[in-house]
Amino acid sequence: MLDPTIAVAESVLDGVLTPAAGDAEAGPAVALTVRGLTKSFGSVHAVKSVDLTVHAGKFFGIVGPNGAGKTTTLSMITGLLRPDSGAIEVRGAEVWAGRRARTDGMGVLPDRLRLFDRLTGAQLLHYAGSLRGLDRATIAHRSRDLAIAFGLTASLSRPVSDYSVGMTKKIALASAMIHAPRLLVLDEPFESVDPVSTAAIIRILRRFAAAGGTVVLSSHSMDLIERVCDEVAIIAAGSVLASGPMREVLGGMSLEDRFVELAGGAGAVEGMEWLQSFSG
Amino acid sequence: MVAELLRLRITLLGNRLRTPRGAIASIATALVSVVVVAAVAAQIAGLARANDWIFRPAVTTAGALVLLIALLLPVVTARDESLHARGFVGYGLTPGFLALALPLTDLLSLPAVLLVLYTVIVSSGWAAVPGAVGVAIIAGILLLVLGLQLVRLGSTLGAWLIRREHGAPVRVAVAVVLLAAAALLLAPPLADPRYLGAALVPVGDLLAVTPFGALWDAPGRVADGGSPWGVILIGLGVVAVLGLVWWLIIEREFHGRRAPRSEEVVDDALGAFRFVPSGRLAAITARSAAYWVRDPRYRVSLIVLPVIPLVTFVAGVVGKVPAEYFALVPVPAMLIVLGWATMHNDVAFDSSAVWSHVVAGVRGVWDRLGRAIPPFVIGVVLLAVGVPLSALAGGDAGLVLPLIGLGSAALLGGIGISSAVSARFPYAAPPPGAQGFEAPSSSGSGAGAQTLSFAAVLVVLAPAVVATVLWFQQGGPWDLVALVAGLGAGVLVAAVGIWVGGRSFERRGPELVAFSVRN
Repeated sequence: MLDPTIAVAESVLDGVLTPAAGDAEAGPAVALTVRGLTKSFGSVHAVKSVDLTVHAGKFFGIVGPNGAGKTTTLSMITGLLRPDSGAIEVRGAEVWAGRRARTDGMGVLPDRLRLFDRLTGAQLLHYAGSLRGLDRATIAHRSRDLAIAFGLTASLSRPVSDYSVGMTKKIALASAMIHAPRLLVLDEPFESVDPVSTAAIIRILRRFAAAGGTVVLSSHSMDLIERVCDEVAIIAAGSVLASGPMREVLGGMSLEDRFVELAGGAGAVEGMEWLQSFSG
Repeated sequence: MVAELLRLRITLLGNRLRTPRGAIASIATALVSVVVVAAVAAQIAGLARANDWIFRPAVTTAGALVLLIALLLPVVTARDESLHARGFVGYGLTPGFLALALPLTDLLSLPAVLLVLYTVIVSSGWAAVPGAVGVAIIAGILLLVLGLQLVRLGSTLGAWLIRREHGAPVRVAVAVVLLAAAALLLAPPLADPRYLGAALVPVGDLLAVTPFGALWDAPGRVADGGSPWGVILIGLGVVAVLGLVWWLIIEREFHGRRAPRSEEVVDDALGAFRFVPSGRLAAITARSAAYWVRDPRYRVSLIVLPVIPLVTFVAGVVGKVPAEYFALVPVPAMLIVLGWATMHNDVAFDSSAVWSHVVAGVRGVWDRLGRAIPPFVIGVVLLAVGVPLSALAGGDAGLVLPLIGLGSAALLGGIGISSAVSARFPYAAPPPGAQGFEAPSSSGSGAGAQTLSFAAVLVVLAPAVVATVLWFQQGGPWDLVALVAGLGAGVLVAAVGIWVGGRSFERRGPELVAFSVRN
């Protein structure tokens, strides 16, 4: 059996995740800017004029309650959803310049979109690498490293449809990273993933960021975002309530308290008295 | 230690008798096989008593088949090796000792009993020949060892096959060979032996110099005044070689299989993808082909294909249509089903991860082409097989050219139109992995596009159809026109359709993703 320890994961991933170091400018370069991003579905305004600035080499977290517009925003950034209006620039280039989004340099982990799950894990990685134009030898080498890092080696020969939710998440994440993108956009990357794997993934992503890569991730787990991210945006009902470096946004509070303060969810517990008078 | 092993063996035999069902099955198997083997052996020995010259080739041929069965039967019946060598690793035994001791315990097994029974009865046929009996005893002992070695190797091979992914078909193939061997063995005694005699002699001569037949023939050589020691030596050599093989297997088991290196794990898990060359188109084609093989919905389309010629044939016979007319129908009809029916909604069919193509910025043309290649390849095979068969059924070799024209127009036209339409007008389909006849959960417009696209395929077919009709009426070079018109229209439509579909795929990426999520 291969050793799935984090130490091994770290050493092998050096080979995979080495985006070119950030430009030697003064101050951190901007990896991604979003300006006035808007999207409606019929009469529902899912995203209302969202502005975000993400710096290169940083962890950027997007938090918000269910239905806040996190997935919609990330889908537009990754070219999966056409915005109604607004601009998205990755390293200075407009993503939606044409009918088709330019997402070549991104690694994308969508939430709840199906994979080609009749392929085995190894085949899926091979497919993801091939779609990004990697050659066989590179794919084989990186598949091995990623499988070790994510603890998937023993499951590589099984069809992905047989994987558990957490394993599916991990193989999707591995597929998103196989072409060593500069920008990783991850929608709920830690949902259903066990704590050991989560810790391993975070370590991997930190190394990636330290080498100049940028991670944008969404979650509704405030604790995790607060612990992991350098920058944060709080989104509710399609609008950005606060965004910037974690320290500035928090202002001495915990992210959860700050979030509740901004989004004002305290009134929801009223009017539930019937739940305290049991029926039998 | 040998005694321990023997006791273990007896315990294992006893275990089979512990449940009433197991006891009945084991005892019945033993009784039936003893009776059958004794009967066959007695028949063969009877030839000698009748002073029949066929006795010698019969002994050799039947004996060789017995050894073949000894090797193959355990391959088919093996469940897991009893007294697996690996189980003794912790007891401080050497592999060499085990390699000798384990086969010794095999003397307490049904195959050993049957082998002894068969050899003794058959060899009794040599009783009348002075000097042959001694040789028969020596050869018989060697044959018993050889037979048991083969049983061991067979069950080791069988247990190994069980653990392999594709072991089952191999075991089925072995079972077929086995049945053939058993049939050959049972046939001579059952049918008139004299009838088969003429065939038996050369076979016996041939087998007599192979490792399987040599020892059986040793007493026969004495009977005919020759020296048996050459073949006995061959037999000894074979036993020694098999013993060495066996020892190597045990040695390998003992020193363990090393854990596979990670490259090997990845390579292994790639399965058929190992042979796929680099590049987007190759990968998309391979994945598409994998889905054709694994997805029950595609299987339904493929199952429909052979029904078409059957229906056409019945309709033609009932309607008294001349054969050369209805011979033209099945191949193009099958290719329409293949090219159009399976493909015209492939974005919906194969929707699982359209998003990954969109995100990776895959060129639309590669996406379209990759999905079109598997049905195209199947279609070309269908053409290659179906056209000559149809011409044969129509009774006219001249049908070949129009048939190729019609067929390629149907296949390429279907693929081209489908490639364009499915990227632009997908409609709801059963989700990937669903059973073939399942209804989709969401419905939407699609009927219009479906009808129109099918009409378009008929338009692509039209020139070839017209030329074929003219050929029937006027003869002349119209068959060549049908070929060129069909092939030309097909190629053109396929090229344009794939290009248009690719463009549409690139421009409508997000819409297709939304469709695949909704569907």
